[in-house]
Amino acid sequence: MTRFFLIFFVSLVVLFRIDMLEPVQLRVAEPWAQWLAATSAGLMTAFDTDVVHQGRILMSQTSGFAVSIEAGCNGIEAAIVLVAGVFAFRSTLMEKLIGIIVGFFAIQILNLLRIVSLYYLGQLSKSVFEFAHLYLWQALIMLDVLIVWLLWIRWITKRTTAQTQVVHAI
Amino acid sequence: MQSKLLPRFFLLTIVWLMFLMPLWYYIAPMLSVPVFYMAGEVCVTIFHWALDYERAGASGVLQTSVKIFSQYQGHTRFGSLAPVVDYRLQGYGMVMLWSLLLASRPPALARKLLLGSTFMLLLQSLAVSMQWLNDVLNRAGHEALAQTKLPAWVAEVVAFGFHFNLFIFTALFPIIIWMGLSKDFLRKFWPGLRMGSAS
Repeated sequence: MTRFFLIFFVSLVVLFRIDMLEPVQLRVAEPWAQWLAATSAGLMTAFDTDVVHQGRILMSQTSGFAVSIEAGCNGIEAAIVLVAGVFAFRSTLMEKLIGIIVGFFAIQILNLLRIVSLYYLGQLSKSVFEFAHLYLWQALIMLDVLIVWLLWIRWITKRTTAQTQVVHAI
Repeated sequence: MQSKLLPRFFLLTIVWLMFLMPLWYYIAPMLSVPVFYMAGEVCVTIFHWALDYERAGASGVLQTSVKIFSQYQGHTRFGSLAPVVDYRLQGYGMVMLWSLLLASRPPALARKLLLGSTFMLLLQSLAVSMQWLNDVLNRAGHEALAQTKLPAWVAEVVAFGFHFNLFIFTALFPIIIWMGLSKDFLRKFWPGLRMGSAS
């Protein structure tokens, strides 16, 4: 457990430091936030033509209410935690890659749901929006990371057990 | 049975989270009492410019001797810097820990809830201190930093620590504590794997 946490924390700090670098923010985080805004708007316009997006901002044309996808809301930090957790756990390179790719998509799907829900909650009530934005969704996104990570290690356990049984059978 | 364990656990965690979070929101002012006490005492003891601290509801103010000035309608106004921290921003991890523990129901649940909550309060006091420091050393300008007589690298370390805590650690720490307190539960679905065996 000690070794796992050592590797986990070192990976976490290094990845977060890289994420904080200005060129990374400019060339990765910013375009990613813009893509999230465009995708969220694309999903919402299927049932709500009132929403428009510009850059990383989603806006209601009638009410003028707008949300901006800032650092901490783009799912990158959650993905960093997942990558560190996958990296620290004993598994093959292919298993790690699968965990990271599938996990990243799982996090981002929930993150899109967060953005869409916050956009509508913000138009209903500012206090409900703040409660959901600052506390509830923060907790849910990190729980999503835990879910993905635990499912991934259970998958590895099953694979390892199956491979061991095949070896014994031979 | 094992295949149903994880979905049931996650569902229960979310149900507990939804149920407990509004409750936590209203008792946050009470939970913030020990947090601001510890954070305030640490800051006042260590930093000569930190004079006192006070709490109002779930917010805590650090009174400092750091002087700041601003221009307003042609007049220069002076004042002392007094950063405010909202405890709830640093404290929602508490309800995550409660939800995880209640959903996994480890042996000696009550004792673990108490122990875990104590760990959380300690970490939250460090998080509050970090936010106060970040407000003084990084957000109030070069003049404020100069008055603290702290080197620039300390301000950089504080900035990193503050952001790391805000974006990652606040929500991650309850999960780490839960893992430490629920080892029996974790072993149920990965019996062949040990967390110590990292590659």
